[in-house]
Amino acid sequence: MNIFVPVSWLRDFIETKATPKQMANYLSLCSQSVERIHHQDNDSILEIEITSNRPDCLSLIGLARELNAILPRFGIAAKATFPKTTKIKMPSKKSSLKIKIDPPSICPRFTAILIKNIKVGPSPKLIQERLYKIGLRPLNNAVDISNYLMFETGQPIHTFDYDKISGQKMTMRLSKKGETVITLDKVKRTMPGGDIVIEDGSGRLIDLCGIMGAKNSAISKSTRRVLLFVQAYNPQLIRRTSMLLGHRTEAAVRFERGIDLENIPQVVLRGAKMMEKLTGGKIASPIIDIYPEKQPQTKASLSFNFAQKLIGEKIGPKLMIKTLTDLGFKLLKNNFHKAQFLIPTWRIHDIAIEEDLVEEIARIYGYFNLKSQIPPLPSQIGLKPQKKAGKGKFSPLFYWRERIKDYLCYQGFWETRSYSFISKKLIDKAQMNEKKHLALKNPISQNLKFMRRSLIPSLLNILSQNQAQFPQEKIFEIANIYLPQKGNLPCENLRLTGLTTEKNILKTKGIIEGLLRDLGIADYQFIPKEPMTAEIYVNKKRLGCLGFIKPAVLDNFKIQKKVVSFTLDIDIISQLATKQKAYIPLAKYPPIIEDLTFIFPSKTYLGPLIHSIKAVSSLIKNIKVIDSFDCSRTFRITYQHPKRNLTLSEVKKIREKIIQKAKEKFAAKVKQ
Amino acid sequence: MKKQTEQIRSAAEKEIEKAQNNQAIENLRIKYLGRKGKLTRLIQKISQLPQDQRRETGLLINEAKKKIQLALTKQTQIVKRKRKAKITWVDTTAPGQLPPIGHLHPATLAFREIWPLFEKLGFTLVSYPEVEWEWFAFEALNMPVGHPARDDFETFFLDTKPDPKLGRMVLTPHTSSGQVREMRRVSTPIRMINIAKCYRINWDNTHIPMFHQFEGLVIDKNINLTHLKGIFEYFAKNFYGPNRKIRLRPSHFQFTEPSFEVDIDCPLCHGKGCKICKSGWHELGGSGMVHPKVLENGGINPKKYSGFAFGWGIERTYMMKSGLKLDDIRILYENDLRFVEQF
Repeated sequence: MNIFVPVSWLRDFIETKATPKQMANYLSLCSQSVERIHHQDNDSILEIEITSNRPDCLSLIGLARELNAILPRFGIAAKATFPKTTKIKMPSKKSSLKIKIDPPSICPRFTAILIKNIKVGPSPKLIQERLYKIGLRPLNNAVDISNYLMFETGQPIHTFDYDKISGQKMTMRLSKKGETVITLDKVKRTMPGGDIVIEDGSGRLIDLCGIMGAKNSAISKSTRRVLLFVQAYNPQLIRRTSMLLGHRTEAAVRFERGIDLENIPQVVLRGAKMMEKLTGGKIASPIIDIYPEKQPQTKASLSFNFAQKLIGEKIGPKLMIKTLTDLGFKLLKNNFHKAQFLIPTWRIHDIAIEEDLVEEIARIYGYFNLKSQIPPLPSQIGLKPQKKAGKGKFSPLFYWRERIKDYLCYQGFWETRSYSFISKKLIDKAQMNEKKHLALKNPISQNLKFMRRSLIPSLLNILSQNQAQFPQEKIFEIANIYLPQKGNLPCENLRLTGLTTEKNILKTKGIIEGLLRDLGIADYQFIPKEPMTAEIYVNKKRLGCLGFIKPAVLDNFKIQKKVVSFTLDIDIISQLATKQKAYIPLAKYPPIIEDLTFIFPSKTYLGPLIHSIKAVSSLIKNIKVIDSFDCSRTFRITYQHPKRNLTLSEVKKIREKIIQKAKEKFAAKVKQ
Repeated sequence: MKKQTEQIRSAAEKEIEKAQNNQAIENLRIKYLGRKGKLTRLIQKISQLPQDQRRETGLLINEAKKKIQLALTKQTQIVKRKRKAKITWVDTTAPGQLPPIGHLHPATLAFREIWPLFEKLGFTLVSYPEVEWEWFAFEALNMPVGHPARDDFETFFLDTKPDPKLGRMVLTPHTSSGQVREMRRVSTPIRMINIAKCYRINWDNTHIPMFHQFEGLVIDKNINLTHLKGIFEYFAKNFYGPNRKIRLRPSHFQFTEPSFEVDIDCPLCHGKGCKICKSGWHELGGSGMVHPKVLENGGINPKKYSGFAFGWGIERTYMMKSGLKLDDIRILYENDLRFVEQF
């Protein structure tokens, strides 16, 4: 969360000659990041991003504490000037307020104090100006005090018009789903259920606790008695309600990040005093303080040697101790090797172990003061026999993945990348079943709900959306698909899918064959599956498939052209791919080459035919289809013997076998 | 006849020298050496000569024939060479005939610039699950139940049965989920780069629900803050340029202690602050020393070993280098081919 800090106001709590720019630089280097310096009315306003672990820094006092430890490290004197705890003489008469908290765990500390005879009016000019600078709008003296003090101390404060609380009775409880409350901003809010609320004697909700008060109990011009209300709430419940209602307030953020329970009474006292001063009212009750379980005091130990080892710099123990005590840690005991500290009450959510103390020392010492060095190489890199990997992808998969991308790129393919989740509509259009998909419980929109189990729907969508500009296209994506598995994480399978509007499917097949050869995979087979598709196998392993997208699917996507698609399983391919090349001695004896023409029945698959011709003899070196007309196909066959010249009669024998096989298996006739 | 032979030869040679194309040369071949050619006819007349002159004349005519043949060959070559030399002008400014040009996605280009820098330092490249158990994504990283990042305003959950031990299934919100997996796989020492898709519930000009991170993890004996700084300085200078500087800013992550944001100086003002960068620095990503609880969850003794980790967005890191000025980052995964065409 970002806060706006007027430097003039910050100086109430720290005496220093540091300029705003110095404060900004040094805070960024050693503490919280100052993103920008704004200038307004001769004042500088620091815009600071406060990390979630440092709710104490969502306050001027917290930032002054940091500067007090940091500035001297840069040779700039600084002295923190925190408000002193003053004692007030309290009236002995208790207030008539009846309180019930159910369950008690929703409110670790409940405090309130009653002030009577107040006169509501505008705040003094200084307070109004300061509130404007931090981005708040002044309302009246009673309400402004709560905002003003929240900004100084980090503790959210609420004010009730005491006379608007029916029966002077408060029941703090969890809401039921559907209860409503109109908050101070005049918005009617419906409770999700399980939200911390306060009900008064007449059963009305008078506070949406920790987020915003209710309109029905707010301070108005006629208010005479005010209940100053300072609490801590269960942080998770506050965050939940605030997120579900989409109502993120300054108070909510502070409550959900953690409150210093020990600091609450001080805030109540300062609030009461300010109320007396600004509104002319008078404290009318002692502090009500319900605090069932005291915030624990926590300690942490530090070994000086450990800190030096982790930071990589010989920082002296004295400096380490000084750094921590400057930040409010209390030194409990120390010797030559280590020290023990009491953790400040405002840091107990954040600091627990030795490493936490090391961070405090290192950041104040200054990361910019540390040297830079590349860590020495370990004695072994990737040589150690590794335990069987569970989930995950490892080398050399990535090498092959990138090589495949390059190959496709040089074949004119364009790489696209889509989200891993798609809509039911897209699944339907591709004629897939959404029930087989892994679904998100909380998708960002219904369009991004199902985890893809095919890359085709996304790619078809791209083709469809771009066809006006790019009628001839070749696109691909390489990405994981997610195949659900019972009782386990899904199988994340790395896939390549490509689409092309090239009509001649053999051109696309050629691209795949070229790719497989480039990867050193030679013994692949295309096995027809349906009339328009084939599956690609190496031995028994299925590598992928190739085929035309069904016309009905194309219609759903309003794609005009025919589309060929191919998919390859990169996980399997990366296991088969190899850089190894085999050397076969160059042939010394000339080949005999001859052409053979067959006439086949229609729809004869050439793939298996060529395969079985080749199987006839090891002397057949090569078979090419050189001509094709109607049902006749002409093959150019190369015969060669590695160790001697072939005789014509040898070739004749083989040829006869070929013809016989073609006749028997494929009902082919030889054309003379 | 001697004289005649000599005349024919010299006339032929002269004529051949003047021939300017293949047709003319062929005509001359026919004229002199063809079936009814001048020299051929002379040969036919040899038989009419007295016996004692035949041999000598035959040799003479043969000699002449060879010479004419030589002249023909020579002239053919000359004509050929001349024809080649004739093309003396070509329009090199006319549009070339392009082969099909492919394009790779910027995320691929980013990967290819980032990974080799770490490969040189002995890092191992891995990629851990995108759909992950809550335990690896959060518990293992010291983010207990109730941590804000774990609620469903920040992280995607899958509509599946939770595992009794490992919790619900999530789309991993950071590559850090792979840290404990890598520790369990290789133990020590570790030098890992994990590049994978990550998912967060966030969708506006500068955020997309799916993005890529690269996660570095170094664990060994005696690893300290100066090493983490060293790696970043190495990366910044090699990736962004030798004059660039980095700074570490204190920050907070549950799984590192101490934690930082790493910034790189603005290339225009070098950290002074200007109109473009405001503060003088650009944020690169988060990092820190691995939290002892995370080491323990990976089966590594934090008393003996220490390490650091960093997780940066690939898209952001690359955009800051290449100066890609995307006013809306969502364009990266919308696949308008006019966008893809530019890479």
